[in-house]
Amino acid sequence: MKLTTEELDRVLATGDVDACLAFFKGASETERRTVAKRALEWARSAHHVTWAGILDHEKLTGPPESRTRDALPAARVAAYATCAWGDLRKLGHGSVPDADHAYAVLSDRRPSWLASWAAWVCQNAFNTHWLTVRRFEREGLIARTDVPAYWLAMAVHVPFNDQMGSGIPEVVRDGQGRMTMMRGGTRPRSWVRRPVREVLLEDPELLETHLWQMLEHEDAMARIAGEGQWTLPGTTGTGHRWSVALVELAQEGYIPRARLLDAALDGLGRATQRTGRWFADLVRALAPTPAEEAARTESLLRMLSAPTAAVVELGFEAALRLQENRTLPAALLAEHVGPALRARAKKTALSAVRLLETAVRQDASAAGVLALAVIEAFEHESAAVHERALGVIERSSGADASAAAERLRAKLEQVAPSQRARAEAWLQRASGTGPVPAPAPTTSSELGELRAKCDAVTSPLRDWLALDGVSEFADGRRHDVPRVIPDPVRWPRLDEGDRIRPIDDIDALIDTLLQLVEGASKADDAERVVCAMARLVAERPSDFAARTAPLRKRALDRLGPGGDFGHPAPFLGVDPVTDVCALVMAWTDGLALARSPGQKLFQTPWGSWTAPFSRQYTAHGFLSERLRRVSLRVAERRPVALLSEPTHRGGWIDPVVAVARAAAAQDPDLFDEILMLLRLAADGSARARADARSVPGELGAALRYALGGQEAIGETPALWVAAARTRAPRANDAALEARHPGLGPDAGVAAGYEFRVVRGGRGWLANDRPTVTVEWTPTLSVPERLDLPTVLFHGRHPGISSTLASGWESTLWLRGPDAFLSTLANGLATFLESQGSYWQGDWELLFHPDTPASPLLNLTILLGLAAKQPNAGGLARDALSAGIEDGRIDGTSLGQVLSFIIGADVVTHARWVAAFRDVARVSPLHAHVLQAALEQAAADLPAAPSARVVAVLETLLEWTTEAGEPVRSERTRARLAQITGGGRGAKLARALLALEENKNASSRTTVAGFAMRARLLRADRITARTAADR
Amino acid sequence: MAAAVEHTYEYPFASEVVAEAGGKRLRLATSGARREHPHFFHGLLRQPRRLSDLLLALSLISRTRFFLAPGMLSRILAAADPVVTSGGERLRFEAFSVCCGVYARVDVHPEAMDGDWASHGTTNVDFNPPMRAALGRIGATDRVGLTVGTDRVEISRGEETVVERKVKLPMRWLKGFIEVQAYQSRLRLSLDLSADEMSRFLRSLPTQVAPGMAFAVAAGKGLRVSQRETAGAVPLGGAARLRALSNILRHGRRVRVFTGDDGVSAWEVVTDDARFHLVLSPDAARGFSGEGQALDTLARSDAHDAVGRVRAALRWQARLTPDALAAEADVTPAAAASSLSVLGARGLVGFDVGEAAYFHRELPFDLELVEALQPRLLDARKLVDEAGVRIVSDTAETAEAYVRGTGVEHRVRANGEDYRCTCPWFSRNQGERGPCKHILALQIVREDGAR
Repeated sequence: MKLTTEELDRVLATGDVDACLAFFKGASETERRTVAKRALEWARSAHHVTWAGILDHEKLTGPPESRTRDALPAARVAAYATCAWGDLRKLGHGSVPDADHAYAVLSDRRPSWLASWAAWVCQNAFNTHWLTVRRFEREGLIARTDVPAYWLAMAVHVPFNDQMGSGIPEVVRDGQGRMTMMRGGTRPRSWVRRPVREVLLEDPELLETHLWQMLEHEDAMARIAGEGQWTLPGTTGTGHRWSVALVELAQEGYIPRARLLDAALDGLGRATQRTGRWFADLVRALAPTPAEEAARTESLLRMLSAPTAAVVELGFEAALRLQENRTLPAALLAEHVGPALRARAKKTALSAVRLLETAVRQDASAAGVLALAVIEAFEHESAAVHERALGVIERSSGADASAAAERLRAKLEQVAPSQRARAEAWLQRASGTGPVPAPAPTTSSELGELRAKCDAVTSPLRDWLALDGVSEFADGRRHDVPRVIPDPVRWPRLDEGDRIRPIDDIDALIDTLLQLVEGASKADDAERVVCAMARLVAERPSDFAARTAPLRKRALDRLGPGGDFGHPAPFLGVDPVTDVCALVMAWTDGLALARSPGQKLFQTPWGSWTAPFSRQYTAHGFLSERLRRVSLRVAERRPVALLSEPTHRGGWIDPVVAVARAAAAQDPDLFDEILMLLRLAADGSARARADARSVPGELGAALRYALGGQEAIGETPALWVAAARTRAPRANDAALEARHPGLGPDAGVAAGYEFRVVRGGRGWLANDRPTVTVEWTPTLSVPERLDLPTVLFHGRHPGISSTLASGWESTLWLRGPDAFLSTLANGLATFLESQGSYWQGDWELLFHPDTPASPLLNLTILLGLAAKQPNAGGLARDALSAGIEDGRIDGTSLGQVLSFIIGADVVTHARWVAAFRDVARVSPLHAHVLQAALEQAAADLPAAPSARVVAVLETLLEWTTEAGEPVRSERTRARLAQITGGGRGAKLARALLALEENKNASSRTTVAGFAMRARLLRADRITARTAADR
Repeated sequence: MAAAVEHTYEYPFASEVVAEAGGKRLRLATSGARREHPHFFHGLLRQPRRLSDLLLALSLISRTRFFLAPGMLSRILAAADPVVTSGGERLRFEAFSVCCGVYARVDVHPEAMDGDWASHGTTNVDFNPPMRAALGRIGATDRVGLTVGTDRVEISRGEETVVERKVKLPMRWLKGFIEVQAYQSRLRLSLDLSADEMSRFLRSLPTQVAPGMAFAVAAGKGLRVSQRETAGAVPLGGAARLRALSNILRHGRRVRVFTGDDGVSAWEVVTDDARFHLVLSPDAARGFSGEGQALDTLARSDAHDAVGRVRAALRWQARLTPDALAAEADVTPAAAASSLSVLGARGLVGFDVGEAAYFHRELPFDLELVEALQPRLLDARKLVDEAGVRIVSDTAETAEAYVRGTGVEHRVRANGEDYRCTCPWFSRNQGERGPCKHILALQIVREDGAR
């Protein structure tokens, strides 16, 4: 038949693939090319209709009959029979004919690009056409296809050998012909899937070469490793699994068993988390004989150092069998066991030590080599591992032991304190010399010098820093290092280095604003731009519009209609960046953005939309309302020096500066006044109070009251609540409560906090998990006033707060950080098991050495240590470390909250135990404080031994031994006595009760030295502040 | 699709470990862009297990994706073979992780090998799966020879199958080589740890790569991970990436840590006869390729004489110091230093942070293309060509210009070497990730004006 366009149209219109194949059979390349253009039009039209649901498009030039999915099978055969390779590649893998048709058309045509197509189809249609490619190879039409995807395609297509996925999808349309959904590929004609072994057996070359190469390719093996999870139709039988087929073929002698075993062991050598289990199962299924294992001892031992648990497990199984069969050379074991001894998992390390124990029993002559090897175990943090390792070492003696003794002496510091005496005793026996004594970090003479310096510090600083208490600890007159309790009302805290440099020119203002809009999260910078804009609003250089144009554009982008989860409307207390953007619009365009009275509709000159959030009565809601009020002044171009502008980092205001500003203020805004009062530092309060006599009106009176003066409470409740909370942050103010009663927690009455465990979670995060919650009295159901920020902290449980919003809130009431910490702790408790980090907020406040370590701060840290999200856990470790270093956190205060956490049983104990161990390494002081906390909290451990009890007791035993102290808490001793039985928990409890004071221990001197040094540095710092104050 | 260049790896045979009389031989096949199948070395390894572990660690990094970016073309990226350089009787193997956020280099010192150095140069080296598997089987007591490349006689005599792989090397992978040396040249020694302490630290690291910045800080004699930057803290974004060193620490004597101001850290495991460098980008989500550290240099014209002279003085030295080069090239030490930075930006030298010196290494790729495909630089040149830069003022010290942006003109200000722009890129990164296209455009215009 002559190939013409008309004939082609006629054949393709029937949709008969076989007729199409017959039409082209035997045609020359020249004949084929005459109809290639038309075939391409057919294929393109049918392809687009089928895959994309496109019915009308100018590019679809095929006849009307081609615009149906039924036309696709024949159309793509026609395309493959005629078109150039470049055109076919552009059509994509959706236009590759079914495997049989592809084979038929291409083997008839034999195009020069067949090898290129083979490589391409392996990469792009790897699960459908590998067997077709292989058929071409077998028939000599192409050479071996050498692309990595070839092996992946083989791995997938051999078990799925029935053209899976090469069917044609079904497009479902509605009444108007619009596509509503596309169902997955219709099933091909035959859905018969042959077992893997059958496919392999019919192609001998696959068994001879291909199989082994495929087993070496990671991509292919990663795919095969998941074959147990493949649940597609036709794969339910195990015959469709590579693993089953390979074991069967090896058993039946079709493939050499030894070669398969070696290939599997090689695979284990480079196994990933994903492939390790598969290869390990393959080895187990092959059940190697003792002789086979003996011949592969080194390969098997190498598995002990694999990063994958499944591989390590197999390595131990094999090593144990080798030992049982007495075919494991001790020297070889010693060479390979190191990584397993150092492994993170205690189980792995213990298993490795057990192997060495057996090896020593089997071959006493190798005791020296094995003792040398087992010293690696002291890298592990578990004392139980050290205990067993010492057992191996103690089996060696004489000349054999000299190398081990030398090595152990170098590592003695790493030996668990509870085992150190035993190690030292062995060293004495083995080499006749004890350990080289380590110099005490703090000598007696150094301590004497430090004491003299402490004595030179005068009161009240000396009392604030509890220097006498530290000396008493050094002398043994008390058993804990007392903590420093910063008093926000009396302690000066303004450092010259923390002074904020105000923004004083428009370019710097634009730069800082742009950084905020693009995600910078420093609350100090946010304050700087708000205050600078308020001050500089009247400055309009001639090129103002050009300079601010990029900023204006970014602000407009941000303020655009948001939708349900888009940017909220400004000034609702939701998103500080949106608030800043609205402030920018007030500055550049004079627009005072506000919501319409209808509350939900937000209107701007460039559109209106429904705001997805309502006003938030939270601490941030106060800040947001303050910004709205600033924006009104900015829009009117009325410059103002804000009273609440911080003078120092963290939001603090020098009271002397505040008084000067208040005295000069014209028409100050109430929110500005409130914020100023809440940010006052204690430095120079007396002088400021005297200066404040010149400040007129209610503001002057409130200012004097905040600074400690005697004033009658005035009529504006918000002003006096702020003044009272600064004057005495944690005390009730009877006069205020009498004049303005019942305003809520932290108004006239200071909030009282209580930690509880509740079930049911909160709000949209409600679940059945028990959760720690911070509750307060007096209670507050629904806050209704935005001008009481101290009360607003207790308005509702926190949801999601950005770092900027959280950091800004933390600068709101600086003398009363507990209110902010209550929101942070509740947030942490809610998101304890969350993997995300969006809820974390800003922790900076916790790190400041002048933030008192209240129970709320300790709770926040302890919850953070137990958080699943690694960054939250990391921040908590840092905060704990910083708090101990600067003396705010002591064992007693931390232990009290830890008792609650342990008793509540709502956190994953392994996390905080690991964190404690990490922080304890920072210094002897850290170890001391954590040991004291742990000792106190151990009194609340359950009496029934469990893994978590063991973990706590193990750590406590090591630290208490290291400190050379007995367990002093009577409550804890009583609880330890209740832990009985023959298990490890009981053994540890008995060991703890048996500890006695070690008079020779130098740890007290060292701990006291660390504490004194840190506190003397603080004394210097505070003295410098006081001098500056004068 | 991401920008990529067509590149052909053509190896005369597949790298392998073969049995030979009395032991094994590691035969590494070399490809070549500047020279065909260079033959670098033939000899014996003194500590075969050590070198095989170091090479396996390097190979693992080259196949690891520490960060999963949407739409990443893993198959293409994974096709990038390590690069080997022979010079000054050293072999250096370099590779990037698939995500381009981790750079690894193994420096094999002369003490590690007994044998003959055939030639100098840089080329790709084939690390195929069977060879990696065989490498894993090398034991400490094995007698192992090493051959890097092979001579023509051996090629013609053998019956090897030529291994040819055409790959599309992503631009980002190539650019990574340029960027990482620019970073390294600014790093300074910050910590020196024992391998034991490092090993303990690695065990404390999270197993999952988490987003965000972290730091390594001193804790007693060792280190711990912190979330806060304090004095002496070593930046450690994506801390879990450091665990790639786990399998080689047993060979290390010391671990030296280098840091700078950019959030990049370099970790050097020092063994008796080799060094392993691991350089981490500031964050797991940030590959080195997009850091733009070489853009300033690339934007500048390098027509000045010194670069040419210094280039002529390159002879595959293992250590290139400005002072030594200055004498050899007859330029001032400052000009030599500046020229090395220019040559680094063009892939002609690498930087060895452990020795604080450059080394001669000519990347075996078409580097002119790399330069031409720097998107920011291209955009900047386009802005200049289309008169998108409007100068307001320009003095020797300061300049101000408006540069065309998307729907708005961005204001670019220069004060000495300090440039600022009002575009979102600059506002977000504050120059940490190189200059934006607007700043580059102004720099080009100013330099053109100066000429």
